Amino acid sequence: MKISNLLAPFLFLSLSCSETPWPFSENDVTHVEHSTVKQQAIGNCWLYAQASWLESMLQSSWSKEVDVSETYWEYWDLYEKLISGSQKLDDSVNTGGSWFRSNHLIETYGWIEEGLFIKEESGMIKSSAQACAEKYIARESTEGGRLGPQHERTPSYVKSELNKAFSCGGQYAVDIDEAFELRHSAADTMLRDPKNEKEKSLVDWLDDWTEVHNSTRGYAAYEGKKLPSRGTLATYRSWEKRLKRALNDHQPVVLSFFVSFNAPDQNGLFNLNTLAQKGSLGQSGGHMVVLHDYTVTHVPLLDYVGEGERDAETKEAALLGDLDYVVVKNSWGAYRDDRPWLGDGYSRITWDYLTKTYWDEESQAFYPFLQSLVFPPGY
Amino acid sequence: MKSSLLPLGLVLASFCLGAAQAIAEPTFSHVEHQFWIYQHIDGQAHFRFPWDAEANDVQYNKEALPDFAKACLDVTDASFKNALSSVDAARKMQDLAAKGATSKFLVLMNVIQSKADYSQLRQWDRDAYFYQWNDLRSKPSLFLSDFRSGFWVWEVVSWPGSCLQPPIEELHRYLDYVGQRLGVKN
Repeated sequence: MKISNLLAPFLFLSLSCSETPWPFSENDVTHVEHSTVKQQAIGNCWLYAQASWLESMLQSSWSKEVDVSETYWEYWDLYEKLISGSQKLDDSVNTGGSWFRSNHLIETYGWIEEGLFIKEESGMIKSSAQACAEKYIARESTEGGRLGPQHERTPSYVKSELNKAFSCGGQYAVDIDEAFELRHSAADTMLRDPKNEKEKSLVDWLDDWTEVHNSTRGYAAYEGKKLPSRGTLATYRSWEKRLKRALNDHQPVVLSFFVSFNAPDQNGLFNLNTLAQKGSLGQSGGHMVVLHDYTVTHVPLLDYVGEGERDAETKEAALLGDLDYVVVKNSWGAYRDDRPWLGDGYSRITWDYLTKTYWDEESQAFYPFLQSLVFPPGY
Repeated sequence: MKSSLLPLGLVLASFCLGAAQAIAEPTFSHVEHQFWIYQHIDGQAHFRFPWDAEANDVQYNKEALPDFAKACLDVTDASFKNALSSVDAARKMQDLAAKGATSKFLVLMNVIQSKADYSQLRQWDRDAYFYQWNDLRSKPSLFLSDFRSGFWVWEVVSWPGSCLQPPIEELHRYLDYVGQRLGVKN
Protein backbone atom coordinates (compact mmCIF):
# COMPACT_ATOMS: atom_id res chain seq x y z
CA MET A 1 0.00 0.00 0.00
CA LYS A 2 1.28 3.41 -0.84
CA ILE A 3 0.64 5.88 1.94
CA SER A 4 -0.04 9.33 0.59
CA ASN A 5 1.88 12.29 1.88
CA LEU A 6 -1.33 14.27 1.57
CA LEU A 7 -2.05 13.64 5.21
CA ALA A 8 1.23 15.01 6.43
CA PRO A 9 0.27 18.70 6.46
CA PHE A 10 -2.44 17.97 9.02
CA LEU A 11 -0.07 16.34 11.37
CA PHE A 12 1.93 19.42 12.35
CA LEU A 13 -1.09 21.12 13.82
CA SER A 14 -1.13 21.90 17.53
CA LEU A 15 -2.34 19.30 20.01
CA SER A 16 -4.61 19.73 22.95
CA CYS A 17 -4.28 16.65 25.14
CA SER A 18 -6.21 15.48 28.13
CA GLU A 19 -5.81 12.57 30.49
CA THR A 20 -9.57 12.23 30.85
CA PRO A 21 -10.65 8.71 29.90
CA TRP A 22 -13.20 8.39 27.09
CA PRO A 23 -16.69 7.91 28.44
CA PHE A 24 -17.54 4.61 26.74
CA SER A 25 -21.22 3.86 26.51
CA GLU A 26 -22.43 1.12 28.78
CA ASN A 27 -23.92 -0.93 25.97
CA ASP A 28 -20.71 -1.92 24.43
CA VAL A 29 -19.66 -5.62 21.66
CA THR A 30 -15.98 -6.07 22.50
CA HIS A 31 -12.89 -4.20 23.65
CA VAL A 32 -9.40 -4.89 22.29
CA GLU A 33 -6.60 -3.81 24.68
CA HIS A 34 -4.77 -0.73 23.42
CA SER A 35 -2.02 1.59 24.63
CA THR A 36 -2.26 5.39 24.79
CA VAL A 37 -3.23 7.13 21.55
CA LYS A 38 -0.35 8.95 19.85
CA GLN A 39 -0.17 11.59 17.14
CA GLN A 40 1.96 10.93 14.09
CA ALA A 41 4.14 13.90 13.17
CA ILE A 42 4.82 12.81 9.57
CA GLY A 43 3.10 10.56 7.02
CA ASN A 44 3.97 7.25 8.70
CA CYS A 45 0.61 5.99 9.99
CA TRP A 46 1.70 2.47 8.99
CA LEU A 47 4.43 2.50 11.68
CA TYR A 48 1.97 3.76 14.29
CA ALA A 49 -0.48 1.01 13.31
CA GLN A 50 2.30 -1.59 13.55
CA ALA A 51 3.33 -0.24 16.96
CA SER A 52 -0.29 -0.24 18.16
CA TRP A 53 -0.62 -3.84 17.04
CA LEU A 54 2.58 -4.85 18.86
CA GLU A 55 1.68 -2.88 21.98
CA SER A 56 -1.71 -4.60 22.08
CA MET A 57 -0.07 -8.01 21.71
CA LEU A 58 2.49 -7.15 24.42
CA GLN A 59 -0.24 -5.84 26.70
CA SER A 60 -2.16 -9.11 26.37
CA SER A 61 0.97 -11.16 27.10
CA TRP A 62 2.75 -9.04 29.70
CA SER A 63 -0.31 -7.41 31.29
CA LYS A 64 1.29 -3.96 31.16
CA GLU A 65 1.38 -1.08 28.73
CA VAL A 66 4.60 -0.83 26.72
CA ASP A 67 5.59 2.31 24.79
CA VAL A 68 7.11 0.90 21.57
CA SER A 69 9.24 3.41 19.67
CA GLU A 70 7.89 4.27 16.22
CA THR A 71 10.84 6.65 15.85
CA TYR A 72 13.28 3.73 16.01
CA TRP A 73 11.56 2.07 13.04
CA GLU A 74 11.23 5.39 11.21
CA TYR A 75 15.00 5.75 11.57
CA TRP A 76 15.67 2.35 9.99
CA ASP A 77 13.09 2.90 7.28
CA LEU A 78 14.77 6.15 6.22
CA TYR A 79 18.18 4.51 6.55
CA GLU A 80 17.24 1.76 4.08
CA LYS A 81 15.59 4.19 1.69
CA LEU A 82 18.65 6.44 1.67
CA ILE A 83 21.03 3.53 1.17
CA SER A 84 18.95 1.95 -1.61
CA GLY A 85 18.32 5.27 -3.33
CA SER A 86 14.53 5.00 -3.07
CA GLN A 87 14.76 8.34 -1.25
CA LYS A 88 15.19 10.35 -4.40
CA LEU A 89 16.94 13.62 -4.98
CA ASP A 90 14.04 15.89 -4.23
CA ASP A 91 12.62 17.64 -1.23
CA SER A 92 9.71 15.27 -0.68
CA VAL A 93 10.67 12.73 1.97
CA ASN A 94 9.42 9.23 1.24
CA THR A 95 7.70 8.26 4.50
CA GLY A 96 5.26 5.75 2.93
CA GLY A 97 5.10 2.11 3.85
CA SER A 98 2.92 -0.93 4.37
CA TRP A 99 2.22 -3.80 6.74
CA PHE A 100 4.71 -5.87 4.75
CA ARG A 101 7.38 -3.17 5.10
CA SER A 102 6.90 -2.66 8.83
CA ASN A 103 7.04 -6.45 9.34
CA HIS A 104 10.38 -6.43 7.55
CA LEU A 105 11.67 -3.64 9.82
CA ILE A 106 10.69 -5.53 12.99
CA GLU A 107 12.18 -8.77 11.77
CA THR A 108 15.43 -7.05 10.78
CA TYR A 109 15.91 -4.48 13.56
CA GLY A 110 13.61 -5.68 16.35
CA TRP A 111 11.84 -3.16 18.53
CA ILE A 112 12.73 -0.93 21.46
CA GLU A 113 10.95 1.04 24.19
CA GLU A 114 10.71 4.74 23.33
CA GLY A 115 12.71 5.76 26.41
CA LEU A 116 15.64 3.56 25.41
CA PHE A 117 16.03 5.26 22.04
CA ILE A 118 15.26 8.93 22.58
CA LYS A 119 14.65 9.17 26.31
CA GLU A 120 13.28 12.72 26.14
CA GLU A 121 10.41 11.43 23.98
CA SER A 122 9.36 8.68 26.36
CA GLY A 123 5.66 9.05 27.05
CA MET A 124 5.29 11.83 24.50
CA ILE A 125 2.16 11.78 22.31
CA LYS A 126 3.86 13.35 19.31
CA SER A 127 7.48 12.94 18.22
CA SER A 128 9.54 16.05 17.56
CA ALA A 129 12.50 13.94 16.47
CA GLN A 130 10.60 12.55 13.48
CA ALA A 131 9.49 16.00 12.37
CA CYS A 132 13.09 17.27 12.69
CA ALA A 133 14.40 14.30 10.71
CA GLU A 134 11.94 14.82 7.90
CA LYS A 135 12.88 18.47 7.64
CA TYR A 136 16.61 17.65 7.72
CA ILE A 137 16.35 14.99 5.02
CA ALA A 138 14.15 17.16 2.83
CA ARG A 139 16.86 19.80 2.99
CA GLU A 140 19.91 17.56 2.64
CA SER A 141 18.79 14.96 0.10
CA THR A 142 18.76 17.51 -2.68
CA GLU A 143 21.38 18.49 -5.25
CA GLY A 144 24.34 19.84 -3.25
CA GLY A 145 22.92 18.60 0.06
CA ARG A 146 24.82 16.43 2.55
CA LEU A 147 22.75 13.39 1.53
CA GLY A 148 22.61 14.29 -2.15
CA PRO A 149 25.25 12.16 -3.85
CA GLN A 150 24.12 8.52 -3.85
CA HIS A 151 27.71 7.17 -3.97
CA GLU A 152 28.45 8.91 -0.68
CA ARG A 153 25.53 7.26 1.11
CA THR A 154 27.58 4.58 2.86
CA PRO A 155 26.04 2.85 5.92
CA SER A 156 28.23 4.64 8.46
CA TYR A 157 27.84 8.04 6.77
CA VAL A 158 24.05 7.71 6.52
CA LYS A 159 23.86 6.68 10.19
CA SER A 160 25.90 9.68 11.26
CA GLU A 161 23.63 11.95 9.20
CA LEU A 162 20.46 10.35 10.57
CA ASN A 163 21.74 10.55 14.15
CA LYS A 164 22.10 14.25 13.50
CA ALA A 165 18.72 14.51 11.77
CA PHE A 166 16.83 12.86 14.63
CA SER A 167 18.69 14.86 17.27
CA CYS A 168 16.77 18.05 16.42
CA GLY A 169 19.88 20.17 16.18
CA GLY A 170 21.59 18.50 19.13
CA GLN A 171 18.59 18.64 21.45
CA TYR A 172 18.55 14.84 21.79
CA ALA A 173 21.45 12.37 21.99
CA VAL A 174 20.76 9.83 19.25
CA ASP A 175 22.98 6.78 18.69
CA ILE A 176 21.37 4.12 16.55
CA ASP A 177 24.11 1.52 17.09
CA GLU A 178 23.69 1.79 20.84
CA ALA A 179 19.91 1.48 20.46
CA PHE A 180 20.34 -1.56 18.25
CA GLU A 181 22.34 -3.24 21.03
CA LEU A 182 19.50 -2.58 23.47
CA ARG A 183 16.72 -3.73 21.11
CA HIS A 184 14.40 -6.68 21.67
CA SER A 185 14.88 -9.00 18.71
CA ALA A 186 11.70 -10.36 17.15
CA ALA A 187 13.00 -13.91 17.61
CA ASP A 188 13.47 -13.39 21.37
CA THR A 189 10.16 -11.61 21.97
CA MET A 190 7.71 -14.23 23.22
CA LEU A 191 3.98 -13.49 22.99
CA ARG A 192 1.09 -15.44 24.40
CA ASP A 193 -1.82 -16.61 22.25
CA PRO A 194 -4.90 -15.21 24.01
CA LYS A 195 -6.95 -18.18 22.80
CA ASN A 196 -4.86 -21.11 24.04
CA GLU A 197 -2.25 -19.44 26.30
CA LYS A 198 0.59 -20.93 24.21
CA GLU A 199 3.66 -18.76 23.63
CA LYS A 200 5.46 -18.20 20.38
CA SER A 201 7.97 -15.68 19.08
CA LEU A 202 7.13 -12.37 17.44
CA VAL A 203 8.68 -13.69 14.23
CA ASP A 204 6.17 -16.55 14.20
CA TRP A 205 3.29 -14.19 15.00
CA LEU A 206 4.21 -11.89 12.12
CA ASP A 207 4.37 -14.88 9.80
CA ASP A 208 0.99 -16.15 10.98
CA TRP A 209 -0.98 -12.90 10.72
CA THR A 210 -2.27 -12.61 7.16
CA GLU A 211 -2.97 -9.49 5.16
CA VAL A 212 -5.87 -9.85 2.73
CA HIS A 213 -5.94 -7.25 -0.02
CA ASN A 214 -9.11 -5.98 -1.60
CA SER A 215 -9.10 -7.52 -5.07
CA THR A 216 -12.32 -5.86 -6.21
CA ARG A 217 -10.26 -3.19 -7.99
CA GLY A 218 -10.58 -4.60 -11.49
CA TYR A 219 -14.33 -4.61 -11.14
CA ALA A 220 -14.53 -1.30 -9.35
CA ALA A 221 -12.36 0.37 -11.95
CA TYR A 222 -15.46 1.24 -13.98
CA GLU A 223 -18.49 0.44 -11.85
CA GLY A 224 -18.75 3.57 -9.75
CA LYS A 225 -22.45 4.29 -9.85
CA LYS A 226 -23.45 0.70 -9.09
CA LEU A 227 -23.86 -1.15 -5.83
CA PRO A 228 -21.15 -3.74 -5.14
CA SER A 229 -21.92 -6.98 -6.99
CA ARG A 230 -23.24 -9.97 -5.10
CA GLY A 231 -19.80 -11.61 -5.47
CA THR A 232 -18.08 -8.60 -3.94
CA LEU A 233 -20.65 -8.46 -1.16
CA ALA A 234 -19.99 -12.14 -0.39
CA THR A 235 -16.29 -11.33 0.01
CA TYR A 236 -17.10 -8.42 2.33
CA ARG A 237 -19.52 -10.61 4.28
CA SER A 238 -16.77 -13.17 4.79
CA TRP A 239 -14.32 -10.47 5.96
CA GLU A 240 -16.99 -9.04 8.22
CA LYS A 241 -17.42 -12.38 9.96
CA ARG A 242 -13.66 -12.93 10.34
CA LEU A 243 -13.23 -9.41 11.67
CA LYS A 244 -16.02 -9.77 14.24
CA ARG A 245 -14.78 -13.16 15.46
CA ALA A 246 -11.24 -11.84 15.85
CA LEU A 247 -12.36 -8.71 17.70
CA ASN A 248 -14.63 -10.77 19.95
CA ASP A 249 -11.44 -12.59 21.01
CA HIS A 250 -9.60 -9.27 21.57
CA GLN A 251 -7.29 -9.64 18.57
CA PRO A 252 -5.94 -6.31 17.18
CA VAL A 253 -7.00 -6.57 13.51
CA VAL A 254 -5.23 -4.01 11.28
CA LEU A 255 -7.14 -1.99 8.66
CA SER A 256 -5.80 -0.06 5.65
CA PHE A 257 -8.25 2.24 3.93
CA PHE A 258 -8.60 5.39 1.88
CA VAL A 259 -9.52 8.24 4.19
CA SER A 260 -11.39 11.39 3.21
CA PHE A 261 -11.40 14.28 5.66
CA ASN A 262 -14.82 15.24 4.30
CA ALA A 263 -16.35 11.97 5.57
CA PRO A 264 -16.45 12.36 9.40
CA ASP A 265 -19.55 13.94 10.91
CA GLN A 266 -19.47 16.15 14.01
CA ASN A 267 -19.15 13.02 16.18
CA GLY A 268 -16.23 11.65 14.17
CA LEU A 269 -18.21 8.94 12.38
CA PHE A 270 -16.84 8.45 8.86
CA ASN A 271 -19.87 7.92 6.62
CA LEU A 272 -21.02 8.43 3.05
CA ASN A 273 -23.92 10.76 3.76
CA THR A 274 -21.61 13.37 5.27
CA LEU A 275 -19.20 12.92 2.37
CA ALA A 276 -22.02 13.26 -0.17
CA GLN A 277 -23.18 16.49 1.45
CA LYS A 278 -19.65 17.88 1.10
CA GLY A 279 -19.67 16.79 -2.55
CA SER A 280 -15.98 15.89 -2.90
CA LEU A 281 -13.26 13.84 -1.22
CA GLY A 282 -11.32 16.92 -0.08
CA GLN A 283 -8.04 16.18 1.72
CA SER A 284 -7.58 12.44 1.36
CA GLY A 285 -5.08 9.57 1.17
CA GLY A 286 -4.16 6.09 2.36
CA HIS A 287 -4.31 5.38 6.08
CA MET A 288 -3.65 2.46 8.43
CA VAL A 289 -5.23 1.89 11.86
CA VAL A 290 -5.88 -0.89 14.37
CA LEU A 291 -9.41 -2.04 15.20
CA HIS A 292 -10.78 -1.80 18.69
CA ASP A 293 -14.51 -2.54 18.63
CA TYR A 294 -17.56 -2.76 16.35
CA THR A 295 -21.33 -2.34 16.38
CA VAL A 296 -23.98 -4.38 14.58
CA THR A 297 -27.56 -3.93 13.43
CA HIS A 298 -30.28 -6.50 12.69
CA VAL A 299 -29.17 -8.86 15.45
CA PRO A 300 -31.78 -11.56 16.10
CA LEU A 301 -33.77 -10.68 19.26
CA LEU A 302 -31.47 -7.75 20.08
CA ASP A 303 -31.70 -5.62 16.91
CA TYR A 304 -28.64 -3.50 17.74
CA VAL A 305 -25.46 -4.16 19.69
CA GLY A 306 -23.37 -1.08 20.49
CA GLU A 307 -19.78 -0.50 21.56
CA GLY A 308 -17.93 -2.10 24.47
CA GLU A 309 -17.28 -5.48 26.07
CA ARG A 310 -20.32 -7.78 26.03
CA ASP A 311 -20.94 -11.26 27.41
CA ALA A 312 -20.13 -14.32 25.28
CA GLU A 313 -23.74 -14.91 24.33
CA THR A 314 -24.24 -11.37 23.01
CA LYS A 315 -20.94 -11.56 21.12
CA GLU A 316 -22.11 -14.78 19.47
CA ALA A 317 -25.39 -13.08 18.52
CA ALA A 318 -23.45 -10.11 17.14
CA LEU A 319 -21.84 -12.45 14.59
CA LEU A 320 -25.26 -12.84 12.99
CA GLY A 321 -25.95 -9.11 12.67
CA ASP A 322 -24.90 -6.64 9.98
CA LEU A 323 -21.72 -4.70 10.74
CA ASP A 324 -22.67 -1.05 11.26
CA TYR A 325 -19.36 0.62 12.07
CA VAL A 326 -15.92 -0.25 13.41
CA VAL A 327 -14.11 1.64 16.16
CA VAL A 328 -10.39 2.09 15.44
CA LYS A 329 -7.41 3.33 17.41
CA ASN A 330 -6.16 6.23 15.32
CA SER A 331 -2.79 8.02 15.26
CA TRP A 332 -3.96 11.62 14.97
CA GLY A 333 -3.85 12.48 18.67
CA ALA A 334 -6.78 13.13 21.00
CA TYR A 335 -8.86 16.02 22.35
CA ARG A 336 -7.57 18.42 19.72
CA ASP A 337 -9.07 21.88 19.49
CA ASP A 338 -8.55 21.93 15.73
CA ARG A 339 -10.31 18.59 15.23
CA PRO A 340 -12.83 18.21 18.02
CA TRP A 341 -14.46 15.25 16.23
CA LEU A 342 -11.38 13.15 17.03
CA GLY A 343 -12.53 12.92 20.64
CA ASP A 344 -10.36 10.48 22.57
CA GLY A 345 -8.45 9.54 19.41
CA TYR A 346 -10.58 6.52 18.53
CA SER A 347 -12.38 6.95 15.22
CA ARG A 348 -15.56 5.33 13.95
CA ILE A 349 -15.92 4.23 10.33
CA THR A 350 -19.11 2.81 8.81
CA TRP A 351 -18.89 -0.50 6.98
CA ASP A 352 -20.98 1.19 4.26
CA TYR A 353 -18.13 3.67 3.71
CA LEU A 354 -15.46 0.98 3.64
CA THR A 355 -17.30 -1.27 1.19
CA LYS A 356 -17.94 1.37 -1.49
CA THR A 357 -15.69 2.84 -4.14
CA TYR A 358 -14.32 6.35 -4.71
CA TRP A 359 -13.32 8.10 -7.92
CA ASP A 360 -9.60 8.68 -8.32
CA GLU A 361 -9.05 11.65 -10.62
CA GLU A 362 -5.39 10.85 -11.28
CA SER A 363 -5.89 7.31 -12.54
CA GLN A 364 -9.45 7.96 -13.79
CA ALA A 365 -10.81 4.86 -12.07
CA PHE A 366 -12.90 3.81 -9.07
CA TYR A 367 -11.15 2.14 -6.12
CA PRO A 368 -12.55 0.56 -2.95
CA PHE A 369 -12.15 2.60 0.25
CA LEU A 370 -11.20 -0.61 2.07
CA GLN A 371 -7.70 -1.56 0.93
CA SER A 372 -6.69 -4.44 3.20
CA LEU A 373 -7.22 -6.18 6.53
CA VAL A 374 -4.64 -8.08 8.58
CA PHE A 375 -6.16 -11.08 10.34
CA PRO A 376 -4.73 -13.27 13.12
CA PRO A 377 -4.20 -16.98 12.50
CA GLY A 378 -7.32 -19.09 12.81
CA TYR A 379 -9.76 -16.37 11.75
CA MET B 1 -34.06 20.85 -21.58
CA LYS B 2 -37.14 19.21 -23.06
CA SER B 3 -39.12 16.90 -20.90
CA SER B 4 -41.96 14.51 -21.51
CA LEU B 5 -44.21 13.47 -18.69
CA LEU B 6 -45.03 9.80 -18.33
CA PRO B 7 -48.41 8.80 -16.89
CA LEU B 8 -46.83 6.98 -13.97
CA GLY B 9 -49.48 8.11 -11.55
CA LEU B 10 -52.23 6.70 -13.70
CA VAL B 11 -50.52 3.36 -14.17
CA LEU B 12 -49.86 3.00 -10.48
CA ALA B 13 -53.32 4.14 -9.48
CA SER B 14 -55.05 1.62 -11.71
CA PHE B 15 -52.69 -1.14 -10.57
CA CYS B 16 -53.27 -0.32 -6.94
CA LEU B 17 -57.02 -0.66 -7.16
CA GLY B 18 -56.61 -4.41 -6.83
CA ALA B 19 -53.87 -4.29 -4.21
CA ALA B 20 -54.62 -5.48 -0.69
CA GLN B 21 -53.03 -2.39 0.82
CA ALA B 22 -53.67 0.98 -0.75
CA ILE B 23 -50.63 2.85 -1.98
CA ALA B 24 -50.81 6.57 -2.59
CA GLU B 25 -50.06 7.94 -6.03
CA PRO B 26 -46.35 8.38 -6.58
CA THR B 27 -44.87 11.82 -6.20
CA PHE B 28 -42.65 11.86 -9.29
CA SER B 29 -42.52 15.56 -10.04
CA HIS B 30 -41.31 15.05 -13.59
CA VAL B 31 -39.60 12.68 -15.99
CA GLU B 32 -37.02 13.74 -18.57
CA HIS B 33 -35.39 11.96 -21.50
CA GLN B 34 -31.79 12.17 -22.65
CA PHE B 35 -30.30 10.45 -25.70
CA TRP B 36 -26.59 9.79 -25.84
CA ILE B 37 -25.86 8.92 -29.45
CA TYR B 38 -22.28 7.71 -29.85
CA GLN B 39 -20.33 8.52 -33.02
CA HIS B 40 -18.43 5.64 -34.58
CA ILE B 41 -14.99 6.76 -35.74
CA ASP B 42 -12.14 4.39 -36.70
CA GLY B 43 -14.01 1.41 -35.31
CA GLN B 44 -14.52 3.02 -31.90
CA ALA B 45 -17.41 4.72 -30.14
CA HIS B 46 -16.93 8.39 -29.34
CA PHE B 47 -18.97 10.66 -27.07
CA ARG B 48 -18.38 13.95 -25.32
CA PHE B 49 -19.68 13.38 -21.79
CA PRO B 50 -21.24 16.28 -19.86
CA TRP B 51 -18.51 16.06 -17.18
CA ASP B 52 -15.61 15.91 -19.64
CA ALA B 53 -16.28 18.64 -22.15
CA GLU B 54 -17.63 22.17 -22.18
CA ALA B 55 -19.86 21.22 -25.10
CA ASN B 56 -21.32 17.73 -24.86
CA ASP B 57 -23.14 15.38 -27.22
CA VAL B 58 -26.29 14.91 -25.13
CA GLN B 59 -29.48 15.15 -27.21
CA TYR B 60 -33.08 15.59 -26.11
CA ASN B 61 -34.98 15.19 -29.38
CA LYS B 62 -36.34 11.68 -29.89
CA GLU B 63 -36.90 12.44 -33.60
CA ALA B 64 -33.12 12.40 -34.05
CA LEU B 65 -32.95 8.74 -33.03
CA PRO B 66 -32.35 5.97 -35.58
CA ASP B 67 -35.30 3.59 -36.07
CA PHE B 68 -33.90 0.80 -33.85
CA ALA B 69 -33.48 3.32 -31.02
CA LYS B 70 -37.00 4.70 -31.48
CA ALA B 71 -38.33 1.16 -31.12
CA CYS B 72 -36.16 0.72 -28.02
CA LEU B 73 -37.54 3.92 -26.57
CA ASP B 74 -41.07 2.50 -26.69
CA VAL B 75 -39.85 -0.63 -24.91
CA THR B 76 -37.95 1.52 -22.40
CA ASP B 77 -40.91 3.70 -21.47
CA ALA B 78 -43.06 0.63 -20.94
CA SER B 79 -40.37 -1.19 -18.89
CA PHE B 80 -39.72 1.88 -16.80
CA LYS B 81 -43.41 2.34 -16.02
CA ASN B 82 -43.96 -1.32 -15.28
CA ALA B 83 -40.94 -1.65 -13.03
CA LEU B 84 -41.69 1.41 -10.93
CA SER B 85 -45.41 0.85 -10.69
CA SER B 86 -45.11 -2.65 -9.24
CA VAL B 87 -46.47 -2.77 -5.68
CA ASP B 88 -43.06 -3.42 -4.14
CA ALA B 89 -41.24 -0.68 -6.02
CA ALA B 90 -44.05 1.82 -5.54
CA ARG B 91 -44.09 1.17 -1.81
CA LYS B 92 -40.33 1.57 -1.60
CA MET B 93 -40.43 4.78 -3.61
CA GLN B 94 -43.16 6.08 -1.35
CA ASP B 95 -41.10 5.27 1.76
CA LEU B 96 -38.07 6.96 0.23
CA ALA B 97 -40.09 10.04 -0.67
CA ALA B 98 -41.26 10.21 2.95
CA LYS B 99 -37.59 10.18 3.99
CA GLY B 100 -36.91 13.10 1.68
CA ALA B 101 -35.64 11.33 -1.45
CA THR B 102 -35.79 13.09 -4.81
CA SER B 103 -38.86 12.53 -6.96
CA LYS B 104 -37.35 13.56 -10.30
CA PHE B 105 -36.73 10.98 -13.00
CA LEU B 106 -34.45 10.78 -15.99
CA VAL B 107 -34.62 8.17 -18.74
CA LEU B 108 -31.17 8.00 -20.34
CA MET B 109 -30.65 6.04 -23.55
CA ASN B 110 -27.16 5.17 -24.82
CA VAL B 111 -27.34 4.60 -28.58
CA ILE B 112 -24.44 2.62 -30.06
CA GLN B 113 -23.74 0.82 -33.31
CA SER B 114 -22.93 -2.73 -32.21
CA LYS B 115 -22.33 -5.11 -29.31
CA ALA B 116 -18.61 -4.43 -29.65
CA ASP B 117 -19.25 -0.86 -28.51
CA TYR B 118 -21.05 -2.15 -25.42
CA SER B 119 -17.85 -3.37 -23.73
CA GLN B 120 -16.36 0.05 -24.39
CA LEU B 121 -19.39 1.63 -22.71
CA ARG B 122 -18.82 -0.53 -19.63
CA GLN B 123 -15.32 0.89 -19.35
CA TRP B 124 -16.94 4.32 -19.23
CA ASP B 125 -19.27 3.19 -16.46
CA ARG B 126 -22.25 3.26 -18.82
CA ASP B 127 -24.62 0.32 -18.63
CA ALA B 128 -28.29 -0.58 -18.29
CA TYR B 129 -28.82 0.27 -14.61
CA PHE B 130 -31.12 2.12 -12.22
CA TYR B 131 -29.40 4.63 -9.95
CA GLN B 132 -29.39 8.14 -8.58
CA TRP B 133 -27.50 11.06 -10.12
CA ASN B 134 -27.02 14.34 -8.26
CA ASP B 135 -25.46 16.71 -10.71
CA LEU B 136 -25.90 16.24 -14.43
CA ARG B 137 -22.54 17.97 -15.03
CA SER B 138 -20.60 15.56 -12.78
CA LYS B 139 -19.82 11.89 -13.23
CA PRO B 140 -22.41 9.86 -11.29
CA SER B 141 -20.93 7.90 -8.38
CA LEU B 142 -22.59 6.01 -5.59
CA PHE B 143 -20.24 7.27 -2.87
CA LEU B 144 -21.18 10.90 -3.48
CA SER B 145 -24.91 10.29 -3.91
CA ASP B 146 -27.11 12.62 -1.92
CA PHE B 147 -30.47 10.97 -2.50
CA ARG B 148 -32.40 14.05 -1.46
CA SER B 149 -31.51 15.89 -4.63
CA GLY B 150 -30.90 15.18 -8.31
CA PHE B 151 -32.57 12.48 -10.38
CA TRP B 152 -33.40 8.83 -10.35
CA VAL B 153 -31.97 7.48 -13.58
CA TRP B 154 -33.33 4.65 -15.71
CA GLU B 155 -30.38 4.06 -18.04
CA VAL B 156 -30.64 1.77 -21.07
CA VAL B 157 -28.38 0.72 -23.95
CA SER B 158 -29.64 0.36 -27.48
CA TRP B 159 -28.01 -1.00 -30.63
CA PRO B 160 -29.53 -2.77 -33.68
CA GLY B 161 -31.32 -5.86 -32.41
CA SER B 162 -30.80 -5.08 -28.69
CA CYS B 163 -32.46 -2.91 -26.09
CA LEU B 164 -30.93 -3.49 -22.63
CA GLN B 165 -33.03 -2.48 -19.62
CA PRO B 166 -31.91 -2.21 -15.96
CA PRO B 167 -32.21 -5.51 -14.06
CA ILE B 168 -35.28 -5.37 -11.78
CA GLU B 169 -33.44 -7.20 -9.00
CA GLU B 170 -30.76 -4.49 -9.03
CA LEU B 171 -33.43 -1.79 -8.91
CA HIS B 172 -34.79 -3.30 -5.70
CA ARG B 173 -31.30 -3.72 -4.22
CA TYR B 174 -30.63 -0.08 -5.02
CA LEU B 175 -33.87 1.16 -3.49
CA ASP B 176 -33.22 -0.92 -0.35
CA TYR B 177 -29.74 0.55 -0.08
CA VAL B 178 -31.03 4.11 -0.45
CA GLY B 179 -33.56 3.34 2.28
CA GLN B 180 -30.69 2.40 4.60
CA ARG B 181 -28.68 5.53 3.76
CA LEU B 182 -31.67 7.80 4.26
CA GLY B 183 -32.60 5.95 7.43
CA VAL B 184 -29.64 7.29 9.39
CA LYS B 185 -29.47 10.82 10.76
CA ASN B 186 -26.28 12.08 9.18
